Amino acid sequence: MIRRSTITAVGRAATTIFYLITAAYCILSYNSFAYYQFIRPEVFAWPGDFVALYHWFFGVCWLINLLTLMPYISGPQRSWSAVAYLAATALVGAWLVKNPLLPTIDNSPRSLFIGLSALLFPLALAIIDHAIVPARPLQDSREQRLLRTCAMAAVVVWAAYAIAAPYRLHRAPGIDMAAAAVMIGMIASGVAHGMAMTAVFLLLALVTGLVRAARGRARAEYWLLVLAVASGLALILYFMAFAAVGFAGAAAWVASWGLGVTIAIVWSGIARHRAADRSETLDAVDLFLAPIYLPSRAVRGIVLLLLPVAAFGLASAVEQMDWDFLMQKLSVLVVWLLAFSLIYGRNRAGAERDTSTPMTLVVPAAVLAAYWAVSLGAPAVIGLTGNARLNPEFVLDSYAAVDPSFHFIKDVAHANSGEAAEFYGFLKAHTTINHVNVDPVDIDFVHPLGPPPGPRPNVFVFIVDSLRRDYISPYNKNVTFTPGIDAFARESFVFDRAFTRYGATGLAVPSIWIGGMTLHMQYIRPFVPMNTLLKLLDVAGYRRIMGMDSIAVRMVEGPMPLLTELDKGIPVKEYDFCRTLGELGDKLEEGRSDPRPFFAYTLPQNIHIANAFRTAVPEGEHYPGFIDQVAAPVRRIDACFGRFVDRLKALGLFDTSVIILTSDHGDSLGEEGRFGHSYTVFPEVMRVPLVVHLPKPMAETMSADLTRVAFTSDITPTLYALLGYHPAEYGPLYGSPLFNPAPDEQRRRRDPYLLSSSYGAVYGMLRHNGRFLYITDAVEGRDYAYDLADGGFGTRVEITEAMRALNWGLIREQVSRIAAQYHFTPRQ
Amino acid sequence: MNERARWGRLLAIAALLLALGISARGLRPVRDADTFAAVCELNPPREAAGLERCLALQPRDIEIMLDLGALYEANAAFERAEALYRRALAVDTKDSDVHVRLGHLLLRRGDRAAAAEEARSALMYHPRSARASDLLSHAAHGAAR
Repeated sequence: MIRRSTITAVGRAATTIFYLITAAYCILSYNSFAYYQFIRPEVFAWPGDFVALYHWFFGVCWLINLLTLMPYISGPQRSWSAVAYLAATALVGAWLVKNPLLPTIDNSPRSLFIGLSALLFPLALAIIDHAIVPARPLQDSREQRLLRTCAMAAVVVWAAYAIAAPYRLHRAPGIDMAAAAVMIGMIASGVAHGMAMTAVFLLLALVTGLVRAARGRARAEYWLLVLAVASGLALILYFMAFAAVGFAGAAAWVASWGLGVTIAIVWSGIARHRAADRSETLDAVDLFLAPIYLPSRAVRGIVLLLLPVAAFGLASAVEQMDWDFLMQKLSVLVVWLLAFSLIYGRNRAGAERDTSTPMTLVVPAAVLAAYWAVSLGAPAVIGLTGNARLNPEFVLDSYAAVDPSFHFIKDVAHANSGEAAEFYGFLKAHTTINHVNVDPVDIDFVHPLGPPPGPRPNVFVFIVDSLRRDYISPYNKNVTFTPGIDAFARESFVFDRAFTRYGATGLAVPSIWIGGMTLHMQYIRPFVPMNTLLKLLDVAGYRRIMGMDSIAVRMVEGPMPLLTELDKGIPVKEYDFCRTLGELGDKLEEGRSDPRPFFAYTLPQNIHIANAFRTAVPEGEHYPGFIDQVAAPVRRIDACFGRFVDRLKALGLFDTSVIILTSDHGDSLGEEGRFGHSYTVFPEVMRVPLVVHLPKPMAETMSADLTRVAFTSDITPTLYALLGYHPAEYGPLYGSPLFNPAPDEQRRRRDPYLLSSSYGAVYGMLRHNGRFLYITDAVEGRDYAYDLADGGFGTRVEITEAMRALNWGLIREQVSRIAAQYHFTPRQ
Repeated sequence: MNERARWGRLLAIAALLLALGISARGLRPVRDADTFAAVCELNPPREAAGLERCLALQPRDIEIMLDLGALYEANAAFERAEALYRRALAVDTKDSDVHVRLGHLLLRRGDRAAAAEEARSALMYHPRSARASDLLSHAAHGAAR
């Protein structure tokens, strides 16, 4: 029979999850990146459903709370605080029915306030739990038991992940590790787990030791433990979760602590209920672990044996939709807690024996010595093998991609030098700028901008979200499934070394409209003064046939008299290139009599990871060497694109139009275990396809260096040049024409070019005509360097002090230059 | 355990914890390079010896190869320049600028067919390049003669 305490615990967990989701939704809405890129465009359906059904969920939670608090409403156990809580939440629920609150959440400080307020509900209930369930006596926890548990947990968790690592490596498409490297990774992971659990033991020993030295009681030890967990959660939320979405500063600290404290106190309240049923003597750690205590020894053993399956299952479930390993790393916490709890429960035997033996100091010292031996000895051993591929840093990074627990420990243990911390702090202060008034600046490639001196060709700009260059045949001879794009490329210019300026849509698309880089903010309002492409369309009298996606509406703002909207009423995430091209073709046929030139634009979402990995691959379709879920939609849109080009030819528009096929960014598809683009600027994310078709007369008179580094931010200056203007050269932060009139020669592009993530403080410095990429990741405090000379996604190279100094200097200079242009000074 | 031993033990635990924290920082060293690498990166030399040294440190840097090649050409060390351009093309076969430079060297030493080949390669990667077209026409003209 299920005990009442278990039912209460499940009820509390369910209602707390509901309030945590409420808080997270509101707090993330306060973050402009999360709001404008995920919440507002409804990239995922469930937040919309959650908002729509919110008052129903609230009602269900209230009923759950009513059931679990029933014994305390009347009778001898009556608690007026419980009665008051139920009455107050009933009133709030009734108010919510009449005044739906969540649909009003936006990117304002009010959302943050509401999010933090939502935490008061579980917090109040947890306080009531502490009041209604009497505290039980606790005994002092024993150091030996703690040590034994930590040691065993280190081995169990390490093994749980290490067992699956070879299999995960085998199925990871983009990780190349020799057997020796895997062995090195496993040994390093073992030592790292030993270090981590030693740290946990020493912290717990310090807490218990301090309490006892101060003659405190076991209860004080318990509350110090709760405080430590709350602090740990707050730090993980701030430095790992919020940092990953560019949410930092005072508001992020408040939110992190609010969430950390709420989770810890609710957990403690549940522990009270669960411990009330137990007859044995408990110590502070027993009490804290009570919510997940399993009374049956056999069940504990079975769960422990199944732990590797759980670890593998959790990591695999989220890996393809992860946010630069964030979910996998957070899933590690669950596995660690479970392992620790199961082992601590098993270690009761002998718990009465004390305790502070020299062993409890000798073992940590031995682990430390082992760490030093491995870290000092490993490079020497690797050197003896003579294998240049066994660079320790690269090996450990590769192994960490398939061992989330090791990855988590590496990230938590990582610390930066003072100089690095200052530089990363500088980058963070200039990134994902939120809730600051920044005035727009006027950007003009031509001033004054009069009517175009040259012809006005029709212009098509197709930005296929997330399309990788190596998934289309002009860039990869192994691709056999894009004949339409291949045929188009043969009649076009294929820019071989093209990059996006930003590693995700949020700023990549605006950089195309601006023709250069911008302040790291979503978005400066009004945007029109910076929108050089819109200015060109206005002055040249272009009709617009556009998909008004969630970014386009913010780029153009205000009424557009010359607009014919594509995909009207269709959610952005459902923009289907095939459907859009069909509609566009129809509209072109309808408007054939209109003599004005037109500008067609769309941002199809077929390949976006949120769609590609959710769509079933048609039966029988296999793409050896490629990921089927991505290749299948590429094949589909290629067929539609090919038909569309044929239709343009039939309409006589192909030879009179500029047609640009590109993507806003690429995607990681398993490289070093990464998936998606999140906030990274790795080569596979930054290198994009860029194929430009020119009207015949232009194509015959224009010259283009197809191997020179090119950017999607060159598109707008190129259009200026094609219309006969001479766009101003604003240096490496802005674009320049891809074509020159034939007698002219383009100079070698040797400038250092700044690249950036759209959503995090991660920057790149692209040098040597696009052959060398230096990446500095201020979110994780890491740097990377890639040699891109081979034309693909490059080879990682070791970083030297000189390389780092130079690239940090260049990045700092160019980020400062953008800030100065927008008169932005970060808060210190 | 007496009071003194208790505090001593606590101190030992704290020291171990500190050592653990400090040790973890040492996981990610940055390699100290030859100090001359900094010069190559921050202020590249203009003389051949310095550039050669830079190239030894950065053997795949095409920009250094081109600077050095231009320097050798200016000093009439054409074979050395040609070797550098070929080395650059081994790193990146698609660099039209290098193809043109190599083509000019080949033309200079009378290998017009090879120069024309380089010009055609350059035009493939840089359609309607004036320099490549010029090279092609010189090579073809010479070949016809």
